[in-house]
Amino acid sequence: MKRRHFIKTTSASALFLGAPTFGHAVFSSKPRKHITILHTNDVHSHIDPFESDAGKKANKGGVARRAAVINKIREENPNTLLFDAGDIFQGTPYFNFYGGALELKLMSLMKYDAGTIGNHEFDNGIEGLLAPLHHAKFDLVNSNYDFSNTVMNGHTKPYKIFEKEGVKIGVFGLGVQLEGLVIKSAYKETVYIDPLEIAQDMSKLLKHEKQCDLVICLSHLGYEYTKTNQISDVKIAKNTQDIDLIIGGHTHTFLEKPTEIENAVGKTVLVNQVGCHGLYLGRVDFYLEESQKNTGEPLSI
Amino acid sequence: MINYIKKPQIVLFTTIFFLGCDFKSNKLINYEYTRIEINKNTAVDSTILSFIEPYTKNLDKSIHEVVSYTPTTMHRNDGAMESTIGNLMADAIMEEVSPLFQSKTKNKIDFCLLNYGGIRDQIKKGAVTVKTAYNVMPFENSVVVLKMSGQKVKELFTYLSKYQKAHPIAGARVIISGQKINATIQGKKFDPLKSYYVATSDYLFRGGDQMVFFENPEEVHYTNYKIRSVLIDHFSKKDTLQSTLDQRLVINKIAE
Repeated sequence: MKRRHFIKTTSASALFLGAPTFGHAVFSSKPRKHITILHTNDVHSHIDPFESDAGKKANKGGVARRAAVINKIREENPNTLLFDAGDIFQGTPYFNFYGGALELKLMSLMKYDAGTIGNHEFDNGIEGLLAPLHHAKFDLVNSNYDFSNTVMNGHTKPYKIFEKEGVKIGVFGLGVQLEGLVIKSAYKETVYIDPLEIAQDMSKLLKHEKQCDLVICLSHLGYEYTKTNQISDVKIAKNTQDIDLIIGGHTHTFLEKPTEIENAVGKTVLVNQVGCHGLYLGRVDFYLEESQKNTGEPLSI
Repeated sequence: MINYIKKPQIVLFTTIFFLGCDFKSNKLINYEYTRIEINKNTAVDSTILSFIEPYTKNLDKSIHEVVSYTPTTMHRNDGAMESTIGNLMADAIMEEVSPLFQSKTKNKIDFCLLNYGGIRDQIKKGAVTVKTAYNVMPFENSVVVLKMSGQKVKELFTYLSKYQKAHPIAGARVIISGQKINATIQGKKFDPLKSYYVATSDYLFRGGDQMVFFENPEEVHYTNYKIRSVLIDHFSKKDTLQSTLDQRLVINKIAE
Protein backbone atom coordinates (compact mmCIF):
# COMPACT_ATOMS: atom_id res chain seq x y z
CA MET A 1 0.00 0.00 0.00
CA LYS A 2 2.81 2.32 0.86
CA ARG A 3 4.32 1.72 -2.52
CA ARG A 4 1.06 2.46 -4.22
CA HIS A 5 0.79 5.73 -2.37
CA PHE A 6 4.32 6.47 -3.38
CA ILE A 7 3.53 6.05 -7.05
CA LYS A 8 0.60 8.40 -6.76
CA THR A 9 2.63 11.14 -5.20
CA THR A 10 5.58 10.68 -7.46
CA SER A 11 5.43 12.82 -10.52
CA ALA A 12 5.44 10.92 -13.76
CA SER A 13 8.69 12.56 -14.61
CA ALA A 14 10.79 11.18 -11.83
CA LEU A 15 10.06 7.54 -11.35
CA PHE A 16 12.79 5.02 -11.24
CA LEU A 17 12.06 1.89 -13.13
CA GLY A 18 13.72 -1.41 -12.60
CA ALA A 19 16.30 -0.09 -10.20
CA PRO A 20 18.35 -2.74 -8.48
CA THR A 21 17.24 -4.40 -5.28
CA PHE A 22 20.41 -3.26 -3.62
CA GLY A 23 20.16 0.46 -3.72
CA HIS A 24 23.81 0.98 -4.37
CA ALA A 25 25.33 3.66 -6.50
CA VAL A 26 22.26 4.71 -8.40
CA PHE A 27 23.95 8.02 -8.88
CA SER A 28 27.20 6.61 -10.08
CA SER A 29 29.41 8.27 -12.60
CA LYS A 30 28.41 5.79 -15.28
CA PRO A 31 27.44 7.44 -18.55
CA ARG A 32 23.77 8.21 -18.69
CA LYS A 33 22.00 7.70 -21.96
CA HIS A 34 18.97 9.60 -23.14
CA ILE A 35 16.51 8.17 -25.64
CA THR A 36 13.51 10.22 -26.73
CA ILE A 37 10.41 8.48 -28.02
CA LEU A 38 7.88 10.61 -29.88
CA HIS A 39 4.51 9.24 -30.82
CA THR A 40 1.17 9.83 -32.48
CA ASN A 41 -1.93 7.68 -33.03
CA ASP A 42 -5.20 7.89 -34.92
CA VAL A 43 -4.16 10.93 -36.93
CA HIS A 44 -6.87 9.96 -39.44
CA SER A 45 -5.61 11.98 -42.39
CA HIS A 46 -5.71 15.25 -40.46
CA ILE A 47 -3.08 17.09 -42.39
CA ASP A 48 -4.34 20.66 -42.02
CA PRO A 49 -4.95 22.22 -38.61
CA PHE A 50 -8.58 22.29 -37.52
CA GLU A 51 -10.48 25.38 -38.51
CA SER A 52 -11.49 28.04 -36.01
CA ASP A 53 -15.07 26.73 -35.82
CA ALA A 54 -14.05 23.20 -34.85
CA GLY A 55 -15.08 23.50 -31.20
CA LYS A 56 -12.57 21.97 -28.79
CA LYS A 57 -10.22 21.10 -31.64
CA ALA A 58 -10.28 24.62 -33.11
CA ASN A 59 -6.91 25.75 -34.48
CA LYS A 60 -5.19 22.64 -33.16
CA GLY A 61 -3.22 19.98 -34.98
CA GLY A 62 -1.57 20.21 -38.38
CA VAL A 63 1.27 18.23 -39.90
CA ALA A 64 3.50 21.24 -40.73
CA ARG A 65 3.47 22.25 -37.08
CA ARG A 66 4.06 18.73 -35.84
CA ALA A 67 7.04 18.49 -38.20
CA ALA A 68 8.54 21.67 -36.72
CA VAL A 69 8.22 20.28 -33.18
CA ILE A 70 9.76 16.97 -34.21
CA ASN A 71 12.69 18.66 -35.96
CA LYS A 72 13.43 20.78 -32.91
CA ILE A 73 13.41 17.76 -30.60
CA ARG A 74 15.65 15.84 -32.97
CA GLU A 75 18.12 18.74 -32.93
CA GLU A 76 18.11 18.67 -29.14
CA ASN A 77 18.46 14.92 -28.97
CA PRO A 78 19.59 13.00 -32.05
CA ASN A 79 18.72 9.79 -30.17
CA THR A 80 15.06 10.24 -30.95
CA LEU A 81 12.62 7.74 -32.41
CA LEU A 82 9.22 8.60 -33.85
CA PHE A 83 6.36 6.12 -33.95
CA ASP A 84 2.70 5.95 -34.90
CA ALA A 85 0.14 3.53 -33.46
CA GLY A 86 -2.16 3.23 -36.46
CA ASP A 87 -5.24 4.69 -38.15
CA ILE A 88 -3.08 6.88 -40.28
CA PHE A 89 -5.81 6.74 -42.93
CA GLN A 90 -9.37 8.02 -43.24
CA GLY A 91 -11.00 11.10 -41.86
CA THR A 92 -10.49 13.92 -44.34
CA PRO A 93 -10.91 14.22 -48.13
CA TYR A 94 -7.12 13.94 -48.44
CA PHE A 95 -7.53 10.23 -47.89
CA ASN A 96 -10.48 9.91 -50.23
CA PHE A 97 -8.64 11.72 -53.00
CA TYR A 98 -5.09 10.49 -52.63
CA GLY A 99 -5.69 7.05 -51.12
CA GLY A 100 -3.25 7.49 -48.24
CA ALA A 101 -0.24 8.46 -50.37
CA LEU A 102 -0.02 11.96 -48.93
CA GLU A 103 -0.19 10.76 -45.34
CA LEU A 104 2.66 8.29 -45.94
CA LYS A 105 4.75 10.81 -47.87
CA LEU A 106 4.44 13.33 -45.05
CA MET A 107 5.26 10.75 -42.39
CA SER A 108 8.35 9.85 -44.41
CA LEU A 109 9.36 13.52 -44.62
CA MET A 110 8.95 13.73 -40.84
CA LYS A 111 11.18 10.65 -40.64
CA TYR A 112 8.83 8.37 -38.79
CA ASP A 113 10.82 5.32 -37.70
CA ALA A 114 7.90 2.87 -37.66
CA GLY A 115 4.14 2.67 -37.58
CA THR A 116 1.62 -0.05 -36.89
CA ILE A 117 -1.56 -0.99 -38.72
CA GLY A 118 -4.93 0.30 -37.59
CA ASN A 119 -8.31 -1.00 -38.72
CA HIS A 120 -8.85 2.04 -40.94
CA GLU A 121 -5.75 1.12 -42.90
CA PHE A 122 -8.07 -1.43 -44.57
CA ASP A 123 -10.68 1.14 -45.60
CA ASN A 124 -9.74 0.92 -49.27
CA GLY A 125 -9.33 -2.82 -48.98
CA ILE A 126 -6.07 -4.64 -48.40
CA GLU A 127 -5.00 -3.71 -51.95
CA GLY A 128 -5.68 -0.10 -50.99
CA LEU A 129 -3.25 -0.47 -48.11
CA LEU A 130 -0.54 -1.93 -50.31
CA ALA A 131 -1.00 0.57 -53.17
CA PRO A 132 0.34 3.71 -51.44
CA LEU A 133 2.79 1.80 -49.21
CA HIS A 134 5.79 2.36 -51.47
CA HIS A 135 5.63 6.02 -50.38
CA ALA A 136 6.45 5.01 -46.82
CA LYS A 137 10.15 5.23 -46.05
CA PHE A 138 9.49 3.57 -42.71
CA ASP A 139 8.29 0.09 -41.83
CA LEU A 140 4.86 -0.98 -40.76
CA VAL A 141 5.41 -3.22 -37.77
CA ASN A 142 2.76 -5.76 -36.92
CA SER A 143 3.24 -9.04 -35.09
CA ASN A 144 -0.27 -10.53 -34.92
CA TYR A 145 -1.70 -10.30 -38.42
CA ASP A 146 -0.79 -13.20 -40.64
CA PHE A 147 -0.74 -11.73 -44.14
CA SER A 148 0.65 -14.90 -45.79
CA ASN A 149 -2.35 -15.36 -48.06
CA THR A 150 -2.81 -11.71 -48.93
CA VAL A 151 -1.12 -9.10 -51.13
CA MET A 152 0.44 -7.61 -47.97
CA ASN A 153 2.61 -10.68 -47.50
CA GLY A 154 6.18 -9.53 -46.94
CA HIS A 155 5.27 -5.85 -46.65
CA THR A 156 5.27 -5.65 -42.87
CA LYS A 157 7.81 -6.49 -40.18
CA PRO A 158 6.98 -8.54 -37.07
CA TYR A 159 9.44 -6.41 -35.09
CA LYS A 160 12.22 -3.88 -35.56
CA ILE A 161 15.33 -3.22 -33.50
CA PHE A 162 16.80 0.26 -33.41
CA GLU A 163 20.13 1.16 -31.89
CA LYS A 164 20.76 4.64 -30.56
CA GLU A 165 23.91 5.50 -28.61
CA GLY A 166 24.44 1.83 -27.94
CA VAL A 167 20.93 1.39 -26.57
CA LYS A 168 18.92 -1.31 -28.26
CA ILE A 169 15.23 -0.55 -28.67
CA GLY A 170 12.97 -3.39 -29.78
CA VAL A 171 9.61 -2.53 -31.28
CA PHE A 172 6.71 -4.82 -32.10
CA GLY A 173 3.14 -4.13 -33.18
CA LEU A 174 -0.35 -5.36 -32.29
CA GLY A 175 -3.46 -4.98 -34.41
CA VAL A 176 -7.10 -5.12 -33.35
CA GLN A 177 -9.51 -7.99 -34.15
CA LEU A 178 -10.74 -7.20 -37.65
CA GLU A 179 -13.82 -9.41 -37.71
CA GLY A 180 -16.88 -7.32 -36.94
CA LEU A 181 -14.91 -4.11 -37.31
CA VAL A 182 -13.75 -4.27 -40.90
CA ILE A 183 -15.62 -5.83 -43.78
CA LYS A 184 -14.23 -9.23 -44.64
CA SER A 185 -13.95 -8.29 -48.31
CA ALA A 186 -11.55 -5.54 -47.23
CA TYR A 187 -9.16 -7.53 -45.03
CA LYS A 188 -9.66 -10.75 -46.99
CA GLU A 189 -7.44 -13.63 -45.81
CA THR A 190 -5.66 -11.62 -43.10
CA VAL A 191 -5.53 -13.85 -40.03
CA TYR A 192 -5.76 -12.22 -36.61
CA ILE A 193 -3.70 -13.96 -33.95
CA ASP A 194 -4.27 -13.58 -30.20
CA PRO A 195 -2.37 -10.40 -29.29
CA LEU A 196 -1.58 -11.44 -25.72
CA GLU A 197 0.25 -14.59 -26.76
CA ILE A 198 2.10 -12.66 -29.43
CA ALA A 199 2.98 -9.91 -26.96
CA GLN A 200 4.37 -12.46 -24.52
CA ASP A 201 6.47 -14.09 -27.23
CA MET A 202 7.64 -10.87 -28.83
CA SER A 203 8.63 -9.11 -25.62
CA LYS A 204 10.52 -12.19 -24.46
CA LEU A 205 12.27 -12.47 -27.81
CA LEU A 206 13.23 -8.81 -27.90
CA LYS A 207 14.30 -8.45 -24.26
CA HIS A 208 16.14 -11.73 -23.82
CA GLU A 209 17.16 -13.24 -27.13
CA LYS A 210 17.77 -9.97 -28.93
CA GLN A 211 18.96 -8.30 -25.70
CA CYS A 212 17.04 -5.10 -26.20
CA ASP A 213 17.35 -2.52 -23.44
CA LEU A 214 13.91 -1.11 -24.15
CA VAL A 215 10.88 -2.93 -25.50
CA ILE A 216 8.13 -0.85 -27.04
CA CYS A 217 4.78 -2.13 -28.24
CA LEU A 218 2.90 -0.16 -30.89
CA SER A 219 -0.69 -1.17 -30.33
CA HIS A 220 -3.95 -0.51 -32.06
CA LEU A 221 -5.93 -2.65 -29.61
CA GLY A 222 -7.41 0.23 -27.64
CA TYR A 223 -6.59 1.53 -24.18
CA GLU A 224 -9.08 -0.31 -21.99
CA TYR A 225 -12.56 -1.85 -22.22
CA THR A 226 -14.48 -1.86 -18.98
CA LYS A 227 -17.74 -3.34 -20.28
CA THR A 228 -16.33 -6.23 -22.26
CA ASN A 229 -13.49 -8.71 -22.04
CA GLN A 230 -11.85 -7.34 -25.15
CA ILE A 231 -8.09 -7.40 -25.09
CA SER A 232 -6.60 -3.94 -24.48
CA ASP A 233 -3.32 -2.18 -23.82
CA VAL A 234 -3.98 -2.29 -20.09
CA LYS A 235 -4.48 -6.07 -20.25
CA ILE A 236 -1.37 -6.56 -22.36
CA ALA A 237 0.62 -4.51 -19.84
CA LYS A 238 -0.65 -6.50 -16.85
CA ASN A 239 -0.12 -9.91 -18.39
CA THR A 240 3.35 -9.60 -19.88
CA GLN A 241 6.72 -9.08 -18.27
CA ASP A 242 9.18 -7.43 -20.61
CA ILE A 243 7.45 -4.42 -22.12
CA ASP A 244 8.58 -0.96 -21.07
CA LEU A 245 6.18 1.17 -23.06
CA ILE A 246 2.93 0.57 -24.90
CA ILE A 247 2.07 3.28 -27.40
CA GLY A 248 -1.62 2.80 -28.01
CA GLY A 249 -4.39 3.91 -30.31
CA HIS A 250 -7.87 3.00 -31.58
CA THR A 251 -9.93 4.24 -28.62
CA HIS A 252 -8.93 7.89 -29.17
CA THR A 253 -8.05 8.12 -25.49
CA PHE A 254 -6.58 11.43 -24.44
CA LEU A 255 -4.18 10.61 -21.61
CA GLU A 256 -2.47 13.52 -19.92
CA LYS A 257 0.41 11.27 -19.05
CA PRO A 258 1.24 7.59 -19.39
CA THR A 259 -0.56 5.22 -17.06
CA GLU A 260 1.87 3.21 -14.95
CA ILE A 261 0.77 -0.39 -14.78
CA GLU A 262 2.32 -3.18 -12.80
CA ASN A 263 3.13 -6.10 -15.04
CA ALA A 264 3.07 -9.84 -14.35
CA VAL A 265 6.33 -9.65 -12.38
CA GLY A 266 5.72 -6.38 -10.58
CA LYS A 267 7.62 -4.13 -12.93
CA THR A 268 6.15 -0.91 -14.21
CA VAL A 269 4.90 -0.64 -17.79
CA LEU A 270 3.95 2.69 -19.26
CA VAL A 271 0.77 2.76 -21.33
CA ASN A 272 0.17 5.90 -23.29
CA GLN A 273 -2.09 7.32 -25.97
CA VAL A 274 -2.45 10.87 -27.29
CA GLY A 275 -6.09 10.90 -28.37
CA CYS A 276 -6.43 11.48 -32.08
CA HIS A 277 -6.18 13.74 -35.12
CA GLY A 278 -2.67 14.99 -34.46
CA LEU A 279 -3.75 17.35 -31.70
CA TYR A 280 -0.90 16.15 -29.51
CA LEU A 281 2.52 14.64 -29.84
CA GLY A 282 3.59 12.31 -27.05
CA ARG A 283 7.15 12.58 -25.79
CA VAL A 284 8.72 10.00 -23.50
CA ASP A 285 12.32 10.60 -22.47
CA PHE A 286 14.02 7.48 -21.22
CA TYR A 287 17.22 7.68 -19.19
CA LEU A 288 19.41 4.62 -19.07
CA GLU A 289 22.66 3.71 -17.47
CA GLU A 290 25.27 1.42 -18.89
CA SER A 291 25.97 -1.68 -16.88
CA GLN A 292 28.49 -4.44 -17.52
CA LYS A 293 26.53 -7.01 -15.65
CA ASN A 294 23.05 -7.28 -14.52
CA THR A 295 23.07 -5.45 -11.21
CA GLY A 296 19.73 -6.92 -10.31
CA GLU A 297 21.54 -9.97 -8.97
CA PRO A 298 24.07 -9.88 -6.17
CA LEU A 299 27.54 -10.17 -7.60
CA SER A 300 29.11 -13.52 -6.87
CA ILE A 301 32.66 -13.40 -5.64
CA MET B 1 9.78 19.55 -17.21
CA ILE B 2 11.10 18.36 -13.90
CA ASN B 3 14.75 17.66 -13.74
CA TYR B 4 15.13 14.32 -12.05
CA ILE B 5 18.75 14.97 -11.02
CA LYS B 6 17.57 17.71 -8.71
CA LYS B 7 15.20 15.28 -7.05
CA PRO B 8 17.36 12.36 -6.01
CA GLN B 9 15.10 11.69 -3.06
CA ILE B 10 12.41 10.43 -5.40
CA VAL B 11 13.66 6.97 -5.94
CA LEU B 12 11.49 3.95 -6.38
CA PHE B 13 13.04 0.57 -6.00
CA THR B 14 11.34 -2.32 -7.61
CA THR B 15 12.25 -5.71 -6.37
CA ILE B 16 12.42 -7.70 -9.52
CA PHE B 17 14.71 -7.10 -12.39
CA PHE B 18 15.40 -9.40 -15.24
CA LEU B 19 18.02 -12.05 -14.74
CA GLY B 20 20.93 -10.95 -16.76
CA CYS B 21 23.91 -12.57 -18.31
CA ASP B 22 27.36 -11.32 -18.94
CA PHE B 23 26.76 -8.77 -21.66
CA LYS B 24 26.95 -5.04 -21.68
CA SER B 25 23.49 -3.65 -21.30
CA ASN B 26 21.72 -0.43 -20.54
CA LYS B 27 19.44 -0.25 -17.61
CA LEU B 28 16.39 1.96 -17.57
CA ILE B 29 16.74 4.37 -14.69
CA ASN B 30 13.83 6.73 -15.13
CA TYR B 31 11.67 8.58 -17.57
CA GLU B 32 10.04 11.91 -18.13
CA TYR B 33 6.87 12.58 -20.07
CA THR B 34 5.71 15.65 -21.91
CA ARG B 35 2.46 15.91 -23.80
CA ILE B 36 2.98 18.47 -26.53
CA GLU B 37 -0.11 20.21 -27.78
CA ILE B 38 0.03 21.20 -31.43
CA ASN B 39 -1.71 24.56 -31.65
CA LYS B 40 -1.57 27.96 -33.31
CA ASN B 41 1.45 28.96 -31.26
CA THR B 42 3.45 26.06 -32.64
CA ALA B 43 6.10 26.94 -35.22
CA VAL B 44 5.45 25.74 -38.76
CA ASP B 45 7.81 23.74 -40.93
CA SER B 46 7.78 25.63 -44.22
CA THR B 47 9.14 22.69 -46.24
CA ILE B 48 6.23 20.52 -45.18
CA LEU B 49 3.77 23.35 -45.71
CA SER B 50 4.87 23.93 -49.30
CA PHE B 51 4.88 20.17 -49.90
CA ILE B 52 1.21 19.97 -48.88
CA GLU B 53 0.10 23.04 -50.85
CA PRO B 54 -0.31 21.54 -54.35
CA TYR B 55 -2.26 18.61 -52.88
CA THR B 56 -4.60 21.01 -51.11
CA LYS B 57 -5.08 23.11 -54.24
CA ASN B 58 -5.85 20.10 -56.37
CA LEU B 59 -8.21 18.76 -53.72
CA ASP B 60 -10.00 22.09 -53.37
CA LYS B 61 -10.56 22.17 -57.12
CA SER B 62 -12.21 18.74 -57.01
CA ILE B 63 -14.08 19.25 -53.78
CA HIS B 64 -15.57 22.54 -54.87
CA GLU B 65 -16.65 21.05 -58.16
CA VAL B 66 -20.32 21.83 -58.74
CA VAL B 67 -22.20 18.56 -59.21
CA SER B 68 -25.81 19.73 -58.96
CA TYR B 69 -28.09 22.56 -58.01
CA THR B 70 -30.95 23.03 -55.58
CA PRO B 71 -33.56 25.78 -55.89
CA THR B 72 -34.41 25.58 -52.19
CA THR B 73 -32.50 25.04 -48.98
CA MET B 74 -33.07 21.59 -47.52
CA HIS B 75 -32.59 20.92 -43.85
CA ARG B 76 -33.55 18.26 -41.38
CA ASN B 77 -36.21 20.25 -39.57
CA ASP B 78 -38.38 21.35 -42.46
CA GLY B 79 -41.09 18.72 -41.94
CA ALA B 80 -42.86 17.04 -39.06
CA MET B 81 -41.69 13.42 -39.00
CA GLU B 82 -39.74 13.78 -42.25
CA SER B 83 -37.50 16.35 -43.92
CA THR B 84 -36.61 17.21 -47.50
CA ILE B 85 -32.95 16.42 -46.93
CA GLY B 86 -33.79 13.17 -45.13
CA ASN B 87 -36.12 12.06 -47.91
CA LEU B 88 -33.46 12.98 -50.46
CA MET B 89 -30.82 10.88 -48.67
CA ALA B 90 -33.04 7.84 -48.17
CA ASP B 91 -34.30 8.07 -51.76
CA ALA B 92 -30.71 8.34 -53.01
CA ILE B 93 -29.80 5.11 -51.23
CA MET B 94 -32.81 3.31 -52.70
CA GLU B 95 -32.02 4.59 -56.19
CA GLU B 96 -28.26 4.05 -56.16
CA VAL B 97 -27.89 0.91 -54.08
CA SER B 98 -30.96 -1.13 -54.99
CA PRO B 99 -29.90 -1.90 -58.61
CA LEU B 100 -26.46 -2.99 -57.41
CA PHE B 101 -27.96 -5.13 -54.69
CA GLN B 102 -30.38 -6.69 -57.13
CA SER B 103 -27.69 -7.54 -59.64
CA LYS B 104 -25.70 -9.22 -56.89
CA THR B 105 -28.42 -11.03 -54.96
CA LYS B 106 -31.49 -11.03 -57.26
CA ASN B 107 -33.36 -9.36 -54.42
CA LYS B 108 -34.69 -5.83 -54.24
CA ILE B 109 -34.23 -3.53 -51.30
CA ASP B 110 -37.67 -3.07 -49.78
CA PHE B 111 -37.03 0.06 -47.80
CA CYS B 112 -34.37 2.21 -46.22
CA LEU B 113 -34.04 3.67 -42.73
CA LEU B 114 -31.39 6.19 -41.70
CA ASN B 115 -31.17 8.36 -38.61
CA TYR B 116 -32.04 11.99 -38.08
CA GLY B 117 -28.82 12.58 -36.14
CA GLY B 118 -26.77 11.38 -39.08
CA ILE B 119 -27.73 14.40 -41.17
CA ARG B 120 -24.88 16.69 -40.24
CA ASP B 121 -25.54 19.77 -42.35
CA GLN B 122 -28.13 21.38 -44.57
CA ILE B 123 -27.96 21.66 -48.34
CA LYS B 124 -28.07 25.34 -49.05
CA LYS B 125 -29.99 26.82 -51.97
CA GLY B 126 -27.79 27.13 -55.04
CA ALA B 127 -24.81 25.15 -56.24
CA VAL B 128 -24.27 21.71 -54.75
CA THR B 129 -20.64 20.60 -54.61
CA VAL B 130 -18.72 17.51 -53.57
CA LYS B 131 -18.02 19.41 -50.35
CA THR B 132 -21.78 19.56 -49.72
CA ALA B 133 -21.81 15.77 -49.51
CA TYR B 134 -18.85 15.83 -47.10
CA ASN B 135 -20.66 18.35 -44.91
CA VAL B 136 -23.94 16.44 -44.89
CA MET B 137 -22.16 13.12 -44.31
CA PRO B 138 -18.71 13.62 -42.77
CA PHE B 139 -18.67 10.07 -41.39
CA GLU B 140 -17.31 7.08 -43.20
CA ASN B 141 -20.39 4.92 -42.80
CA SER B 142 -21.37 2.52 -45.53
CA VAL B 143 -24.68 1.07 -46.59
CA VAL B 144 -25.59 -2.38 -45.30
CA VAL B 145 -28.60 -4.34 -46.43
CA LEU B 146 -30.22 -6.54 -43.81
CA LYS B 147 -32.80 -9.24 -44.30
CA MET B 148 -35.15 -8.71 -41.39
CA SER B 149 -38.05 -10.77 -40.14
CA GLY B 150 -41.46 -9.13 -40.12
CA GLN B 151 -41.28 -9.22 -36.34
CA LYS B 152 -38.08 -7.15 -36.36
CA VAL B 153 -39.59 -4.74 -38.86
CA LYS B 154 -42.52 -4.35 -36.48
CA GLU B 155 -40.03 -3.48 -33.74
CA LEU B 156 -38.57 -0.89 -36.11
CA PHE B 157 -41.99 0.73 -36.53
CA THR B 158 -42.54 0.66 -32.77
CA TYR B 159 -39.19 2.37 -32.36
CA LEU B 160 -40.26 5.15 -34.75
CA SER B 161 -43.46 5.53 -32.80
CA LYS B 162 -41.63 5.64 -29.48
CA TYR B 163 -38.85 8.12 -30.33
CA GLN B 164 -40.89 10.33 -32.69
CA LYS B 165 -38.00 11.72 -34.67
CA ALA B 166 -37.78 12.53 -38.36
CA HIS B 167 -35.62 9.53 -39.13
CA PRO B 168 -35.30 9.36 -42.93
CA ILE B 169 -37.15 6.51 -44.62
CA ALA B 170 -37.77 5.55 -48.22
CA GLY B 171 -39.69 2.69 -49.82
CA ALA B 172 -42.15 2.55 -46.95
CA ARG B 173 -45.02 4.65 -45.74
CA VAL B 174 -45.76 4.48 -42.04
CA ILE B 175 -48.79 6.05 -40.40
CA ILE B 176 -48.81 5.73 -36.65
CA SER B 177 -51.89 6.59 -34.63
CA GLY B 178 -51.41 5.77 -31.00
CA GLN B 179 -50.85 2.03 -30.75
CA LYS B 180 -52.00 1.49 -34.30
CA ILE B 181 -49.36 1.24 -36.96
CA ASN B 182 -50.43 1.28 -40.56
CA ALA B 183 -47.52 0.54 -42.86
CA THR B 184 -47.06 -0.15 -46.54
CA ILE B 185 -43.78 -1.37 -47.97
CA GLN B 186 -43.23 -0.96 -51.70
CA GLY B 187 -46.92 -0.07 -51.96
CA LYS B 188 -48.06 -3.28 -50.31
CA LYS B 189 -49.50 -3.70 -46.87
CA PHE B 190 -46.87 -4.68 -44.33
CA ASP B 191 -46.96 -8.42 -43.61
CA PRO B 192 -45.43 -9.38 -40.22
CA LEU B 193 -44.94 -12.96 -41.46
CA LYS B 194 -42.77 -11.85 -44.37
CA SER B 195 -39.07 -10.95 -44.34
CA TYR B 196 -37.84 -7.67 -45.80
CA TYR B 197 -34.57 -6.33 -47.21
CA VAL B 198 -33.78 -3.13 -45.36
CA ALA B 199 -30.96 -0.74 -46.26
CA THR B 200 -29.34 1.24 -43.46
CA SER B 201 -25.91 2.42 -42.37
CA ASP B 202 -23.37 0.13 -40.75
CA TYR B 203 -23.38 2.55 -37.82
CA LEU B 204 -27.05 1.91 -37.10
CA PHE B 205 -26.62 -1.79 -37.74
CA ARG B 206 -24.03 -1.82 -34.95
CA GLY B 207 -26.63 -0.46 -32.57
CA GLY B 208 -26.25 3.28 -33.11
CA ASP B 209 -29.19 5.41 -31.91
CA GLN B 210 -30.51 2.43 -29.93
CA MET B 211 -31.76 0.81 -33.11
CA VAL B 212 -31.41 -2.61 -31.52
CA PHE B 213 -33.95 -4.16 -33.90
CA PHE B 214 -31.13 -4.31 -36.45
CA GLU B 215 -29.31 -6.85 -34.26
CA ASN B 216 -29.17 -10.47 -35.44
CA PRO B 217 -30.87 -10.12 -38.81
CA GLU B 218 -31.50 -13.12 -41.03
CA GLU B 219 -28.85 -11.95 -43.49
CA VAL B 220 -26.24 -9.18 -43.59
CA HIS B 221 -24.98 -7.78 -46.88
CA TYR B 222 -22.14 -5.28 -46.64
CA THR B 223 -22.16 -3.13 -49.75
CA ASN B 224 -18.90 -1.29 -48.99
CA TYR B 225 -20.62 1.72 -50.56
CA LYS B 226 -20.14 4.80 -48.42
CA ILE B 227 -23.22 6.90 -47.80
CA ARG B 228 -21.25 9.98 -48.82
CA SER B 229 -20.28 8.33 -52.10
CA VAL B 230 -23.92 7.43 -52.68
CA LEU B 231 -24.78 11.11 -52.27
CA ILE B 232 -21.99 12.32 -54.57
CA ASP B 233 -22.98 9.78 -57.23
CA HIS B 234 -26.63 10.67 -56.85
CA PHE B 235 -26.07 14.44 -57.00
CA SER B 236 -23.84 14.04 -60.06
CA LYS B 237 -26.68 12.40 -61.96
CA LYS B 238 -29.18 15.16 -61.24
CA ASP B 239 -29.12 18.62 -62.78
CA THR B 240 -31.44 19.83 -60.08
CA LEU B 241 -32.10 18.20 -56.74
CA GLN B 242 -35.74 17.78 -55.98
CA SER B 243 -37.19 16.57 -52.77
CA THR B 244 -40.62 17.01 -51.32
CA LEU B 245 -42.37 16.18 -48.11
CA ASP B 246 -44.80 13.40 -48.96
CA GLN B 247 -46.01 12.26 -45.55
CA ARG B 248 -44.07 9.01 -45.66
CA LEU B 249 -43.86 8.97 -41.88
CA VAL B 250 -46.78 10.39 -39.96
CA ILE B 251 -47.35 10.16 -36.25
CA ASN B 252 -50.85 11.22 -35.29
CA LYS B 253 -51.48 12.36 -31.79
CA ILE B 254 -54.55 10.65 -30.40
CA ALA B 255 -56.71 12.65 -28.09
CA GLU B 256 -56.96 10.92 -24.74
